[in-house]
Amino acid sequence: MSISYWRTRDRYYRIIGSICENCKSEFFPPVYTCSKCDSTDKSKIKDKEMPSKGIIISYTVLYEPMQGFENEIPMQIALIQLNNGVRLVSQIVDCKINDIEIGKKVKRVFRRIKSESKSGQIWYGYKFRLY
Amino acid sequence: MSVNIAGTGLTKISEHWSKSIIDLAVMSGRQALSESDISPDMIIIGNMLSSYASNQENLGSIISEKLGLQGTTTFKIESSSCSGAMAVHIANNILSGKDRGTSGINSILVIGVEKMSDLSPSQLVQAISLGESYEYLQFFGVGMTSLYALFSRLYMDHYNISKDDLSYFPALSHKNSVSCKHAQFNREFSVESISKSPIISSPLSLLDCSPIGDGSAAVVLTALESSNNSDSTNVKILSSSASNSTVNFFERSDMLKFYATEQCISKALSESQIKLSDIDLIEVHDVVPAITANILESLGFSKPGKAVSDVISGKYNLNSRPFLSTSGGLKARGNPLSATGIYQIIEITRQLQNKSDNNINNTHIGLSQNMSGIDSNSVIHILGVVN
Amino acid sequence: MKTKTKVSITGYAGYIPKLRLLTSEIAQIWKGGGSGPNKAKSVANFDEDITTMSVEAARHALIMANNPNVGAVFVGSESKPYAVKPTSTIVAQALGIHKTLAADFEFACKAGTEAMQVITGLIGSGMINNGIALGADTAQGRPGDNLEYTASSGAAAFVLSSENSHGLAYVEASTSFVSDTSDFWRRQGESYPRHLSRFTGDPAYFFHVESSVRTLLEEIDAKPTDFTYAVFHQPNPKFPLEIAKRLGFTKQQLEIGLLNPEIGNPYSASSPLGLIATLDVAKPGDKILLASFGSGAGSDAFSFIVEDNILNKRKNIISLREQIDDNLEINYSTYTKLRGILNQ
Repeated sequence: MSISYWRTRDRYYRIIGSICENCKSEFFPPVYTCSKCDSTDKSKIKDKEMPSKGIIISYTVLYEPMQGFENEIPMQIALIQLNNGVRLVSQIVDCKINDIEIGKKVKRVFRRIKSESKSGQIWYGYKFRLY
Repeated sequence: MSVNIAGTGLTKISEHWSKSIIDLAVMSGRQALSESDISPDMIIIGNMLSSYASNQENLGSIISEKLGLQGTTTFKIESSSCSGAMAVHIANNILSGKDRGTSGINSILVIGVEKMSDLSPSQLVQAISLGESYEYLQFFGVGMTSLYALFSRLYMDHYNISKDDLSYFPALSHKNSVSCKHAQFNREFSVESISKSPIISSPLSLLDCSPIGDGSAAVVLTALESSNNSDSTNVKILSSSASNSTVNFFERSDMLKFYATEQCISKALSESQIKLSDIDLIEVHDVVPAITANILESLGFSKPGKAVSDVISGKYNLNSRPFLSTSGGLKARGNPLSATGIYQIIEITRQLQNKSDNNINNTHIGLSQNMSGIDSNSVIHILGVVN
Repeated sequence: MKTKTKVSITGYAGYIPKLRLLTSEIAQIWKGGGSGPNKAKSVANFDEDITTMSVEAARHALIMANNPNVGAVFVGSESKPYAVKPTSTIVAQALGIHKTLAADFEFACKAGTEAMQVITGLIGSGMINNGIALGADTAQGRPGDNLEYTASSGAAAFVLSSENSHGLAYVEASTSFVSDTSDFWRRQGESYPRHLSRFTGDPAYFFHVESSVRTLLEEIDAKPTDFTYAVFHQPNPKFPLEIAKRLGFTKQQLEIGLLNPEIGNPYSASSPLGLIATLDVAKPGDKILLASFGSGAGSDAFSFIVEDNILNKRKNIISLREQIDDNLEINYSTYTKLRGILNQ
């Protein structure tokens, strides 16, 4: 999985998604074709960095972790709508559990996601915090 | 050309510590073959976790050999948690196709099997999430239950429905499973005890969520004119439809709309020429309450936002048509992922044949809906008795 | 040391983790009451390390500098997550920069100013036009040791640039003074450093800082009273005040940059963050002294002259004061859990 991480790292570090050159719709995660376009060539897709700010539109606090996340429980996960309308799911950090509410503003931060093991690689990526 | 269900077989859903994935598949496969007394031309296995949990692929060939069947066409199909229903759908398509006669495929054994309990708790969290994006969800520790939870909160907020009220659905499921011999759970739980059970991923409590268990269910489908088992009511597939939608529910333009399920029900009703009000039995993908409610509304059995108030006022229980989850559904009968879709079909079949442990008399038509993830794939079958 | 051409700070940003541990919490466990020399210290969250803090600081510093073409990314730290694998390339990747020098520096608490020295030289020679110097640490004190009160986490980033119209403060001159003095060290494979208690004072901190500053003052022919502000490395609240006295600087010159009482000692980010707090309030024409200290041992001393642009550029940035004040207090058990995670 280290190589899969390396392959995706720009997307993890800078939230790089896609923009359709025709209709300017933006997507994250990246896409191969535009699902919103009327144009005949729907595959004119380029990389685009997503906005770093958004709002919370749903959230959950998780108590049963996946492997590698045992230390992070209770883990606060939110569905975020970025300022360009794109929605993604990410962890919210640096706040108390009851601080999270629908409608609150969040901004992107660069954090450790997990580490394979004590001697394995450290994987970094995006999370969000309230501001 | 009608496709009939000539034989059924299933194992109890449980943590089968002493049974392997192959053991379970052979158990249900044998029962179905024996009941149908047919030698199938094709064997299709529906399964999702054989590599992840059992280090085993090539299930078609391996299981067929163990059943004493060689010289057939056999393979595994995978469509995440609806693999079993999808396997039935494919078999139905093959058997009702107009080229069937020349292909020599007259009967197909379909086995859904899942072996989950060898995994550790944190591996299980990932196992049930394998159908969701690895790179953008699993990698970040976001699993299936958290996605269900995010959906549930949107549903609750949109329709102004409380967590406690949603727990009426799992309560109904547990009431129905009490007498079902193959169900994972045979005990009732009150709405309150369900809603107040420990939180897994808020707002979902432990008892709101369908359990982890091993199981295998199998059917023999045949296009042959007469069934060999003449003392049993003939049940045929009136329609079988499948559809897919955006995998991430939150990327849809209407986040609460189950586009795939809506397409399937529309196809299913027009293909079978039956009306919703003709349906006596319903099996749905009742993984968590808000999804159960949303499915029933997508199918048209309840108006948008009204499924919970409907179930609270007595609709869907064993006293009023249509009867929902007559053996407990995914919640109480159990949810061995890829086998689930076939457990649903067998429940309806046995109800129609008056053979179910929890029998309701005078049922003629049943509908099963099974899906992967949150409606990324949806598969609907309508079954009915043949006169 | 002076460069042949002008080198200015064109962007800067500090990053202080949100979590705070009161030293009274530590003292309660280990002494039954009281507190440490500082009131509180900043604590990195379970998912933070010098790489994450450096990325945050660098991103914000680059915004202030108007995203110039960067030719060097240097990270100074003694708490690198990898013994072998540069943090600086992760920072560069996160910034989208590839055609650049990248290296990690280690010189205990002066690794950050070390990075500033080298980038100043690279720019002054004309090899590059812009560089980012980072000092970042998630300092760890052995449980129960005195260092536990002050060892904290933070990062500071400076974008330095060649002659241009966006300078916020230019480097008038800098010096460096070193000797082989092992007042504080950590062997390969050890989790926590060791130190020689009171020996870390006069033969280490005071001797080297006094030497680098006196050399600087002589080189630029300046007196302590010529400076508006002075920022010294802050291992605790007392040392900077004592060195100031010995050199002839006043408490008033130090006050704004003295962060140790509130955030502890984030090692390589310590004096750099003090400089940032100072730049946040400085006016054009102000003269600022920066003197770091790194165990092992050595001191870098700089003289900065604040430029006119500083008044424009400070808008729309998160000030250090806001980050210091907007914090989340944790208790000693949470801190212990986090420390265990950081060591994994």
